[in-house]
Parts: sequence; C-alpha cells; structure tokens
Amino acid sequence: MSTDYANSSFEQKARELLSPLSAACPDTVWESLTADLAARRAEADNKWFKAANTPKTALIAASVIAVITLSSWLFFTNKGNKHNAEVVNTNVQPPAPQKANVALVNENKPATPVAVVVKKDSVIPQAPVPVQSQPLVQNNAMQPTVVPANMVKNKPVAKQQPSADNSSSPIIVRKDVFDASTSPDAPPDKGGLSDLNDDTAKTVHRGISSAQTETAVSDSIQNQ
Amino acid sequence: MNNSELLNGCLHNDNSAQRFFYDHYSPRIMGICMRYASGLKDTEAMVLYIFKKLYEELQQCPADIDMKQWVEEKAIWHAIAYLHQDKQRYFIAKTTRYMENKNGKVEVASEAEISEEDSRKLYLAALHALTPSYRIIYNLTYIDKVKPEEIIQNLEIATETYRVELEGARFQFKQYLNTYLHEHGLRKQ
Repeated sequence: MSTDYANSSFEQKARELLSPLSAACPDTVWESLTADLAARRAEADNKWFKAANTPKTALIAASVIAVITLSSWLFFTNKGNKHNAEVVNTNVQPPAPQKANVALVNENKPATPVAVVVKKDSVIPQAPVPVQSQPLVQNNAMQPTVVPANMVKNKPVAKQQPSADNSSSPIIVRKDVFDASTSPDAPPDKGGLSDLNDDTAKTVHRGISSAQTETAVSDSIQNQ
Repeated sequence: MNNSELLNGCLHNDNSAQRFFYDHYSPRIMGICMRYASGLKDTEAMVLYIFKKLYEELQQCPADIDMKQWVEEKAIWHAIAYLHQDKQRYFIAKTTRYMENKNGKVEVASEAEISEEDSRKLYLAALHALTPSYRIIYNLTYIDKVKPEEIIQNLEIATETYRVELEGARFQFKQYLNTYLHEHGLRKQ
C-alpha cells in the first residue's frame, strides 16, 4: 500500500513532536487503580478461600449421596428378591381369559318374521350390469374338449317330465309301501322324520293323508 | 527491580511491585493517552482502563521481549479499544464531521516563529479536535508508525475505508492546525 504522503515533512514534524510525549500521571489515577487492585486482591483471596473449602463440602455431599444411593439400592434389591421368592412358592393360577364382549343372540327365542309391506311402485328394477371385460364369444379352440361320460357311452338322456308338484293334484302313493310302514305292530319310524326338517316332514304327512284319501275314494268306487 | 521480579510481584498481587510498575510506565502511557483521548478527563479514564488491562495481561508478556515496547504496544491498542467502547460518540462525531472535508487544499500557516513547546501544544490541540476515528488512524499511521496492514487487520476495516479515513484525518488535522496557528499568531501580535 502506498503511503508516500505519510513521509511528508508535515507529518514528520507531527511525529517528532508527539511521539515522545510523556507526562506525569495524576494521583487520582493511582488512587482509583489502588482501589480496583484491592478489590481484585480481595476477590482473589475469597476465591482461594472458596477453593480451599469447596473440596470438603463436595466430599461430604458426595459421600452422603453415595451412602443414600447404596442403601436404597440394597433395600430395593432385597425387597425384589423376597417378592420373587413368594411368587415362585405360591401356586398362582393363570388369570381367566377374558371373554369377548359380544352380544349373544337369544337362541331360545325364535326369530319373529317381520311383515314388510312392499309396494309395487317402490321396487326399482335393477338394470343388468353388462360385463365388458369378458368376450361375448368364448374361443376355446386351443383347449381340449372335455366330453361328458354319458355322451361317450351313447346313453340316452332321460327325458325330464314336468314335476307334478301341484298341491291340488292328487298324489298317488303305492299302498303296499304304506301298509308295511303303517302296520299297527311295527313301531312308528320317527327316526327318519325326526331327522328331517319341518318342511320335509310336513310334505310327507301331507302325502300320507292324501294317499289315505285316495284309497278311500277308490274303495268307494269299487263298492259302487 | 528487574523485569522478572516485577512480573512475579504483579502476578502475585504484590502492592509494591504494582506501584513500581505504575510509576515506571505511567508517564509513557499518559503520553500515549494524551494523543488518543480528546481531553484530560478522558485521558485519565483511559490511563486507568489501560493499567487495569495491563495488570490482567502481564502474565502473557513474553520473557525474551523488551517489556517497555510490549507495554507501549498494548497501551496503544487498549486506548483504541477504550475509544471503541463509546460507540455513540465515536460514530456520531464521525458522521457529523464528514461533510466538512469537502473543501479545497489547506495551506498551513507559517510556524517559524513558534517555539517547540507551543507547536507541540498546537499539534496536540489539532489532534484532539479530530474525530475519534480520524484520531486513531492519524496516530497509528503517522505518529506510532504502525504498518497499514496491521491497522486494517486490527481495526477490521477495508483497505479503501482506511485510505479514505486517512485522507480525511490528514485534511482535518491540517485545517485545525492552520486555525490554531493563525489564532496563536494573532495572540502573539
């Protein structure tokens, strides 16, 4: 850095005059300084005094804390061992499993049917959902064709007759079958019926009653 | 009492050693503070501050160095630190007097007829009239001959700031000196 102007005669004279400047310091400065040094000395002495006393206090405090900690640790460990021994000796039953808090349905009480009146207008017919993912014509040319067994054997398929399930039409029941089953000596075969559900039993009973009626009608015709 | 005894006595809070240290270095430190401070009251407060700091830092004094040089160098930088403490006066004075520098050159009046003691007083008065920042820069650069790099580093200022401050300090010092010389000549007449 260029400081050529600093070497001019004017600045040199300032340096010559002011550089060796010295003057006697007034006593007030030393008095203030003495007070400050005395305070600092007292502070240092107090610091040393504190430092001398601090280890004793610290040692006492540390020893007290250590004794308390050790005794409490011993007390709690002993207590814990005793408690464990008691638990081992006594026959402790495992706690009962908690039942799930589920509302049980009353099995004895039959479910009463609720009559719901459905009006014709309130029923909204659901539109058939078209299946878009599936193709309309399934191409199974690559798959081997599985032929049913009855077609292989050329068996004629039994022609299904319309079921005569009308309750109004008479049911023809072979008499010999019921004679054997309804003989007064033989015990009533309730085992089969009892196993069946109520609808089947009712149907069979209805069949029996209608068969008896049929036999009665035919006897009356023959008598005529 | 040699330097090592002086140091040991001061470090152990020996009152006689501390008194000896004060008596030995206080005139020189007082001279330094007269240049950096702006008045006698400020100078005394600065001396007190510097001695407090020196008593604290005496244990850092190297054994192989000249103690007088070390004490003077420490005193200069502690004087600057003392001025920096009063930030309100430091910065306000700087900003208010900055506009006064935008004038032409100043011709210093003839001082051939002035005695050395009088001219020292006039120079010191002109130095006291400077703002604290200008006074610091002027003292460090022209009187204490501290290197510009060291000044920039210790004051934590930019190079350009240093250059501008030094130019302003130099200009103002000449202006005040001219005024005081002129007044002194008038008084003589």
